Order: sequence, then C-alpha cells, then structure tokens
Amino acid sequence: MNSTISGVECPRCQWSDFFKAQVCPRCLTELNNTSFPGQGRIITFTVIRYPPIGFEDQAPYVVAIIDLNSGPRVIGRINAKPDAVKIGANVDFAREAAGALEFVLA
Amino acid sequence: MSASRVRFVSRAAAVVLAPAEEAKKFTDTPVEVVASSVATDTLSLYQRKELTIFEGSRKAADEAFKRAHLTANDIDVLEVHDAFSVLGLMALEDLGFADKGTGAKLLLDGTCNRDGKVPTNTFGGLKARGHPVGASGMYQVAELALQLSNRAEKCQVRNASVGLSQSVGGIGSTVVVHILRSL
Repeated sequence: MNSTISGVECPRCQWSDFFKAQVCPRCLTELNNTSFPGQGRIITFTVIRYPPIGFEDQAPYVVAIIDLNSGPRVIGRINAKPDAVKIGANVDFAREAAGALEFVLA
Repeated sequence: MSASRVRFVSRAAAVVLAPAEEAKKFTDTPVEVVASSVATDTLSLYQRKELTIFEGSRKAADEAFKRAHLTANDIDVLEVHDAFSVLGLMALEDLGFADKGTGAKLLLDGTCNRDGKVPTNTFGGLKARGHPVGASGMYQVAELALQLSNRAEKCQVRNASVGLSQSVGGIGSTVVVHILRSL
C-alpha cells in the first residue's frame, strides 16, 4: 500500500506531527505542510471494549501508537481483530476515517 | 474493568493557610510549605518521546527540590498519585526515589512501608482512599500535614519532618509537587 499521511513539519527544528498545527510547539516557527510514507511499527496499543457514546457499533476496536518509518510518532486505529495485533508489528496506513488514521497489519 | 484502576469517589479535604509568622496563633504544630512546583507535558501520549516516564513529574520534582534546597534523601514521608497501579511505581522513579525500571523493588523490599526509608501513601493513597479527583491533591497535603504534625495516629511515621506530595492531572500532562516541613 502506498497511501501517505498528510501532516506538518517545522522548517527550523524539524519537529513534525500528523496533527494540523500552524505553529511549532517547540520553537514557535510557522509549520510547512508535508506528507509522510504510511509504513510504521506498533509501539503500544489498547483494545476499546467499552466504547464512548457514538462508537458502540465499532467496538471492540484497536487504538495504537505507531512510529512511522519515515515520519513522526502518530496515534491511530488498527483495522484488525484485536487478537491479531502485537507490539512491534509492522503496519501500513490505509485511509483516514472519521478524523482518525486507520492502519492495517503489513 | 481492570483492578489496576482506582475508584472514583465523592470526598472532601481542606487545609488552612496562614503566613508562617502567624501560624502559631492558630496551631501548636504548624507545617510549612517549603516549595510548590507545577510542570506540564503534551496532552497526547503519542507526542511524547517516552511512554514509561512522566516528564512533568521529573520537571516538577527537580524544580521543587531545587527551590527547597533538598533532595529525595531528605524526604521522610511521600504521597504519590497512584490512580493506576503503574503510576505509583512510575512516580517513585520519576521523583528520584528509584532508578528507572526499579520502582517495584521499593515496594517489595519494604522501603515504602511505614517503618521503611521512604514511607509512601501512609493513609492508603488513591487506591485505598479512592480518587475524588479535584480533592485528591488536597487529601495528599492534608495527610502529609497530619504526619508532619504528629497527628497521624495509627498511620504515624516516626520522626517525620519533611514530606513530599505528587499529584497528576491528565495522563501526566500536568504534575504538581509540594514539599512540606514541620515548623
């Protein structure tokens, strides 16, 4: 899969994030728009079995923190059965859904 | 769902503040606020470099120790924000009482017991007291004040004169550290 993740990068201190901020929280420089390759690795994850209101039909679902291979650390959903998800697993970005990044196991 | 998590409860705690020079008018056993420090970190966990450290705890503790001219070795009684089991252990490490990854040893070897080197959460902490959220930080200060004024009864730590409390907001996005001393 070759989907990229849009985000921002600081031209001065190279701080980057997938969250669309305007100003670098580290050095207050105006950020540039950029995009990151969607390949990454799961750092940790949790399984939401008791969802908040509005997410009832989606549970159980997996929320993970992912280090992109060429980009920042991000948070997103893993579209997979919870039992199949492991720390250290490689993932690919699939799409943006309801404001969240959605990954699949590589 | 998980036994690791604290119970949210409804409770209240209070302390009376007065200028140090006037405190003796109100009590024979006043307690001094030696240092108070607050530090913040990112709200989102994914924006942090490390997930097993609360940078806010480290910064708040460093600043409080600096202002008080004290170190972790000077603390006779400790209150940590154990809203989840792991947070108490992380606090022992982040505040400088244990090396990273060794916080649990202090519980196992008795260091945190009432008669240990660093008596911790002597009234039970958030786990045994419950977590009244906004009032939890005040509970910590009130319980330290009881210890430092020798009024902790069955929970009393012998010869306690300096205490430290660490209170956490969010998942470590705000951390407050107070150092108190009996006058």
